[in-house]
Amino acid sequence: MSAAVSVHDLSKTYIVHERSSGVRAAVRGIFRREKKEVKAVQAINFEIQPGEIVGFLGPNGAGKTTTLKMLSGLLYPTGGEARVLGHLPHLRERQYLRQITLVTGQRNQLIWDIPAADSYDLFQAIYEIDPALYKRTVDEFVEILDMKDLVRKPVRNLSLGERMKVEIAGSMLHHPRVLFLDEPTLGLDVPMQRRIRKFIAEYNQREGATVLLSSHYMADVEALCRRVIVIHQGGILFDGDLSALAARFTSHKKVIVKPADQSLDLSGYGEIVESELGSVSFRVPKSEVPGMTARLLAEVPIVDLAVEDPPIEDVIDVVFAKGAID
Amino acid sequence: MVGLLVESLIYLVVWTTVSEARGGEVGGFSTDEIAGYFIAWMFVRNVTTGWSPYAMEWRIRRGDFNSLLLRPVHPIFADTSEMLASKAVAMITVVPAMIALALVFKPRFELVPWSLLALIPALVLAFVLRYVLMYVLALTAFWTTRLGGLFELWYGVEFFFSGRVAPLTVLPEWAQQVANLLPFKWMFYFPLELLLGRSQPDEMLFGFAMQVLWLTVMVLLMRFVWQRAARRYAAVGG
Repeated sequence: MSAAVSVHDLSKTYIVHERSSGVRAAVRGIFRREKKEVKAVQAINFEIQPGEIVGFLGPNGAGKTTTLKMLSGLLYPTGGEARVLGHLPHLRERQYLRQITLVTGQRNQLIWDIPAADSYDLFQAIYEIDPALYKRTVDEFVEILDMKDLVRKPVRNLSLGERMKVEIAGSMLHHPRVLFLDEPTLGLDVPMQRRIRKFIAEYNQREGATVLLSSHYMADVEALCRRVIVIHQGGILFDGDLSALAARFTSHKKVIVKPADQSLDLSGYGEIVESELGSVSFRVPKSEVPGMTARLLAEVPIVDLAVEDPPIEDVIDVVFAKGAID
Repeated sequence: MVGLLVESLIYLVVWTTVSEARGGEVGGFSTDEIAGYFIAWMFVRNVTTGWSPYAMEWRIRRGDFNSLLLRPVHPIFADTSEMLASKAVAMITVVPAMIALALVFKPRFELVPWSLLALIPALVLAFVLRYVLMYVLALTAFWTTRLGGLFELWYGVEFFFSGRVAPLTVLPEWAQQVANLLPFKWMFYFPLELLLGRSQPDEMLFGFAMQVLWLTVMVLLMRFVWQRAARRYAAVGG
């Protein structure tokens, strides 16, 4: 079975004009513009089989959005090749565009002033969806996402979460075979996040669609993906089972303590990773967390204490500090 | 659309006054004929207006253009139906306004059947020609956002050479020759003359030929520019 997505040495380098502040620099900028190369994506390789849900994890600026834009045909690669469903995305062939969808947090596909239902009718025409199938699809999506009242209201009157629901439904009316989801739950409250994740999971199961989901929320990825690709500074650091990544890195928790006396040396309680503004952050193995926090609370006057999962940036930092994983 | 009504009203008043002051004629139009010109003006103007090149830049900035690029339809069509629909809605106001002004100014014009039949394709071609032309202008937004001055110059030239501010017969002879070579006459003045019944059959044929010629040029230019624009957009990332 041939891969749904096949990426080979894919690169994207932007040329950015830089200029320092001040009048002199502004004047000089008229005659000579300084250029800087930004290597957003550097020779990445991966293959995704049809029906997989793969998570792209990485901090902001890692190259996730750039990769998705290249795969959906919005950006030209500066090197290497990407093939999706056998097509070269940047050619933007009609046959290709009809089989994919790109969902981003900010994108407005639906027409602002009219109800979503009318925009859906427009999509039916644009994507040439069979009328009977279209009607079934709309009814299904409306039911699953509980949008009965929402699709009748002009989009501008909807809240952010409601708008995201109708947008996502709209972008999948044409039953795309490949879904590129770029931070689809950004800014949404937790129940809404869950609802959208469920929708995507069910769509994938029912239709066997391939899903590439980019996020910097671990929760998104944990809920949906078995396989993750960790991207950092334009390169792939990890490509494999989520469980392996999780075991490797979320075996630790972050314990943040605000002691009453800020001059105290707390290094005896654990590995300190950060110390500023009166807060001390420890990196503590999961199993040791109860014991360590109990000791702290008993022995040191504490103003505040919190236990957190390490943010993905810390995880990446650790990975990066230790070198790439194979 | 209010602008359209106000603008035509101003011209109507000014030019009929000028005509009266000159003894009842200006540029080959009698006073009541020139009244007819500017009343018919409203109709043709409503049909042929469309794109603003400034809108493209705004669209790119907002990231809306990505949505259009992801559709299996060329982005040039994104606004067509909206534009056509708004024209239909505007007509609801424009036509009664025309009738009202006709009652006041008592225009004179001829309703020539073949001319009115020819008007329909002429209007369609005029609209499409202007639409494509404006789109090409708008595409320059992919390279620079600093072309405001160029657009204004463009509008200025169109102002005089399309017949918008005055019938082309008012212009000096050399200017009228220039107007024949530019696309603007064929986007506005040509259908307007057909509506007023002031065209001769050979002029009509020449007019169609010019419309088709310019349209072909514009479409080729548009495809050329679009390819470059899309490539640049995809290279730079919007």
